[in-house]
Amino acid sequence: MPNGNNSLTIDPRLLEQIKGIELKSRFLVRGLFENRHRTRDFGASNEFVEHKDYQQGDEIRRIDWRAFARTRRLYVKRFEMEANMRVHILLDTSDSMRVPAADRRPTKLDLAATIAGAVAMMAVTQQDSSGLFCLGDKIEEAIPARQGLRHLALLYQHLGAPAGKGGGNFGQVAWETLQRIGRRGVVFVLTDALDDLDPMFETLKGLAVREQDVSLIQVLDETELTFPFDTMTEFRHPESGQRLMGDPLQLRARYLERLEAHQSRIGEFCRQHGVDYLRLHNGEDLIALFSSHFVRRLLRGSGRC
Amino acid sequence: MLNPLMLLGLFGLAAPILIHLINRRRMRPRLLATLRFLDPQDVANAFAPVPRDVLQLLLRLLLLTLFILLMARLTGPSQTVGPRALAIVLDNSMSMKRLVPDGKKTLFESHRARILELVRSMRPGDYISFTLAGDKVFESTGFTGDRSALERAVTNAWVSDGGGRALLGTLEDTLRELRSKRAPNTALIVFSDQQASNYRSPRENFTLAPLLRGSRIKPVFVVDPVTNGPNVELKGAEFHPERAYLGASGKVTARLHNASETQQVVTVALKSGPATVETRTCNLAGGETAHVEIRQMFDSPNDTVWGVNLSEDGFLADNDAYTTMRMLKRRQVLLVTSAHYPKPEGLTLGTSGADLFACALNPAEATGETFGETYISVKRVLQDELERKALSMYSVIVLYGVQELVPDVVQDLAGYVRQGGGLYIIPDTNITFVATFNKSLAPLLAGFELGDPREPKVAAPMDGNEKNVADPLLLGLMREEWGTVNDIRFARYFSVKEKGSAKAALKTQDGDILLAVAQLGKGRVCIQTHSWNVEDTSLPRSLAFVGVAHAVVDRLSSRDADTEGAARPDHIRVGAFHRLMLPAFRGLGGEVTLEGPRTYAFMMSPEDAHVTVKDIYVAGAYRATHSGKPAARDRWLAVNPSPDESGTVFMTADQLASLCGVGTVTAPSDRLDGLFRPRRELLVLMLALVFVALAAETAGSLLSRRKKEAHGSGA
Repeated sequence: MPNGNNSLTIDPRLLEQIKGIELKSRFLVRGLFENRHRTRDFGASNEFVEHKDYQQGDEIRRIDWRAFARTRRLYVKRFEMEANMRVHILLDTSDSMRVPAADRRPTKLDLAATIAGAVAMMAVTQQDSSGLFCLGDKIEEAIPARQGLRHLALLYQHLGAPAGKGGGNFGQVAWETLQRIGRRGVVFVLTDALDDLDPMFETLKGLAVREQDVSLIQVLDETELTFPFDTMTEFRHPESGQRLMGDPLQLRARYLERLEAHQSRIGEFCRQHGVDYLRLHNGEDLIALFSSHFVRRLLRGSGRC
Repeated sequence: MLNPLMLLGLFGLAAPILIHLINRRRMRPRLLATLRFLDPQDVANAFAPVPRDVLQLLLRLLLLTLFILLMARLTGPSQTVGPRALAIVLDNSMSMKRLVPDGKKTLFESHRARILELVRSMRPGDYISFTLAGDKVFESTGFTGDRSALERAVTNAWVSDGGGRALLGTLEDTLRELRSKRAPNTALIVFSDQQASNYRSPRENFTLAPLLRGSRIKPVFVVDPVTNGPNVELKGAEFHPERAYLGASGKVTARLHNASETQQVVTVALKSGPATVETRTCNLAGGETAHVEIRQMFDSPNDTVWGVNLSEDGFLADNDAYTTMRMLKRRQVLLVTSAHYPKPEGLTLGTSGADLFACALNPAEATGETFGETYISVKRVLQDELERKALSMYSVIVLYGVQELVPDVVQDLAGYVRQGGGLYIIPDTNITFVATFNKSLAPLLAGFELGDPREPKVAAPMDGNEKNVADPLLLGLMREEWGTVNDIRFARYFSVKEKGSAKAALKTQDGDILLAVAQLGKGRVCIQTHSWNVEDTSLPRSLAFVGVAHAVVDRLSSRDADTEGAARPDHIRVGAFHRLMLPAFRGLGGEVTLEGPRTYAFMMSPEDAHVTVKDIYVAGAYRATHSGKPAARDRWLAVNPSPDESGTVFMTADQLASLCGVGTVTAPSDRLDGLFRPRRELLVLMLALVFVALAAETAGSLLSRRKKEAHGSGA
């Protein structure tokens, strides 16, 4: 969580829980440095893939001399390339994420930043690269994916006080990050997903097209899910400033109905497009939920495209 | 509704309504990121009443209303009149002795009977206080449900001859006490003739309305008709002089006032006991006041009390007045003369100074005639006989022309004076040898010494300037109260060598002392520097001589006068304080009883010769007796009724209403039964409703709070 030093602090219990959980992509990744993630390129791993005719310029040491002895033709052995993985985190830092929560609970942004920090920690721990995009009215922060603890400290510093204001167009802003993120990696989208869904869906599709393993983590406030108000209340939207006043007891049923439809639409989209979807709120036990989610994600395995 | 003022609390109902409205209008905006999921159509009805809020508001309003009604002590219809708290005030001033129209009972008796009926109609739960008030509060039971005690108090109620000065204060105090009573039917019932003088307060703009405002007390003034016939009031009667000697005559002056507007003829009777001594008829115009004088000669040595009575009229109580006559004891004067002044033989009237002095004291005795008898008896002896006389029998001893006495006699005389006797020394310039006089009588002179005889060429006139004398003995002479003094001259007199402790009481215009008074022990010595011989002074030939002789004797025998209680005559108004001198009971102490229309007892200290009489409120003649000395001389105290109760101005209903404010009831005594409507306080019902409403409101609040807690709301 953000602390007074503007640096993110994560509950040690959460770190203990995620320790040993491997962060893997369901798809082939693309990386510069050698690591354990499978890529589409050929490299120097132990996994033999195929023979190909020797062409001038191929490395002599790759020639399969046994095959030459049998066939008198020169073949070169090709092996899989295992590289590092680039993990990008798209963090919604709009005003809707900053709505104060009741009963000293963490705000949605606090919760999302914690999750982002945990993901970054997992990535850096397994020698992968992690980058961060803070998205408010625009791209507030854009930290390219890099490795190393110093980079992790930088990320935590930014996650301690995520920059951003305004909001309401998360999908469009996120779309602008597609060029910077590139292809074949892992993207975690941390947002409350309360804006118009279509732009966000387009962005998610765009990430999927770019062979990104996309995870949508929807962070909500518990009061947004339960709508527990019982006295006449004036509600104000944190981003647009729109004010509405009414009796919550009269509004509650229709509200929950609409919210449920909204959530269903998100879930349906994620199922259809292979987006890993996790919804949580600030009233839940983040440690258990988060670790179990990543265990499930790991067990689901990775595929090859 | 018992306490309408509490209904003002209904304005408090505005408080929860205002709070409700303010809470609706002053809501703190709540940030909600999911605002887009709220239905605008529902939001449009935001200002529509919220049933739960309205229900809670109504519940609170109901609770508040019930509480206010509980405080206001709501009453409801009932089969009978609910518990009552009645404060009954009965006026016992003298004017309550007026007769009611049937002519058989007084207004006081009529009211007392009605109060007894009220007390006997008490029911369980009723509380009644009975207060008997006139010039003071004579009886107050306090609020009680004890019927027998109330009956006893009412039955023993009596009417005084005093006024009603305490009536208004009693009403005020009773109202204060009545305000604390919780009975649903509360009333202050005043049984009085509503005489206006009794409702005047020394406080400006006094009113009882503030005490009644906001209370449920019903002020009821019982107004019964009285016989208001023509009335002549006897305002008082006094003797002049207030004390007389046996055989002397005096006059009683009765003051009459015709309180009615028509001419009245009344008969004034002077009574000694039940017997009428003399009557006088008097014709008085409306509103006229007259003094009637009736002469009376006193032929009994006993003190008596006299009554003056008027013939019957519309108000009998003010027709009597009482006054006392104190008989003075005769003074015994021993006139001791030298051998130059023998007592005249037979009926011969001498012309010496001693003869003139004796004649001035008691002309009848000196001349042997019946005319001119006074209270002073003069025993005349020569100085040689003095040693054989019992000096204590005499009030005053006069040494006339005596220049020398044997020492034993002088010592006896000195002892006599020191014990309180009076000594009057009159030297004679013809026969008194100064040195012998000063030496022989020195123990009697208190340092005073005569000088040489003085015989001015022109007889000296007396000094009329009061400032030049130190003793006021002869102020009457100097002020010419006893007769003209223009011709009074002094031709021969002694000068004064030493004045000693004596104070000059008379001087010549040259400043020579003619008369001096000295205190010697308990008694006094009066020393004259001249004789009463007509060659020495012209005073004996003037009328003022009698006054001088009597003044000197009275002054020298003033100890006797003190013991007789010369201070004030013993007649007072009812309720007054009076110091009743009782020298006959000196040293007895204990209880002195005054027996008269009522019997009173007052404590007397053994050191005192008086009792302080107070709180006698029944007019009449009271005789003072003491069980330790039943045969003592009678002493009487005349107590006269209040002079203010004969007025015929009564409070009107409007005046009573202005005194007590709106809601004042004036009713005859026989219509008090319908004073209260049959209503009963709904205390139990209101308490139950308040409890139910409070429980419902509490349950609602708890449920609401629990609901919020269950939702984890930050509301």
